[in-house]
Amino acid sequence: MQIKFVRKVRAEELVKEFERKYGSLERLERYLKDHPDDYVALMDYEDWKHFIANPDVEVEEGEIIVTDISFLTPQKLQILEAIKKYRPRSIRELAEKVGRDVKNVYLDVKELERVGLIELRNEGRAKRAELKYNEVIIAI
Amino acid sequence: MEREIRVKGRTVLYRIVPGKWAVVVKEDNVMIDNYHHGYPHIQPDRETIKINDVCGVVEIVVRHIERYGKVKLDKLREELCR
Repeated sequence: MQIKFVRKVRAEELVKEFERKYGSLERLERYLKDHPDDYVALMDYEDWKHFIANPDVEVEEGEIIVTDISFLTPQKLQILEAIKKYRPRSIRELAEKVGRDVKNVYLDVKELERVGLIELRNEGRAKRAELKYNEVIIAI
Repeated sequence: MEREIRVKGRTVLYRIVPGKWAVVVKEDNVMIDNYHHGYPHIQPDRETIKINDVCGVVEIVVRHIERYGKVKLDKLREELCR
């Protein structure tokens, strides 16, 4: 079973992510001298240099998880759908939209955050869940 | 990127930029790309592969992982280069 997560981003957004992750291009370059076989870092480095010259290009980035389907339960899919559809401002509001207990929704949300499918942003005292991908494709 | 997908199994990450693409299997630290020379190759020795289509490469890599549960580099090379 494959689960494919796809997002399309502009190069300048990826550059901001690189800056958050590595600090600067020079720092990444120094890191790669010590870790030449870190291929994710190498890919980021090559793209970062390319994006400086081409900040307006659109990039498709995907992650394909080869796994069993049990991770994405119907409840979690429902949560993802509700986040996209209603953009709830808190976990409580999200729980109301999916008609489930706040505590159980919170546990699912934390797991979705842990694996990287959503991001939790503080909004006052509440936490707002946001999707990190544009597309989720499940292939059998 | 702060994004990390960590669930059971392997993660195949790909990125397509106009004219360039790369595919990485995080857990096995394998990279196939067409950077620098424009022709598709597999790291670390940049052996040329026969497919210059990222979707085709992803398909082969994913099927390989489904078959073996991980990347067996020599076998993957055979599949990509033959």
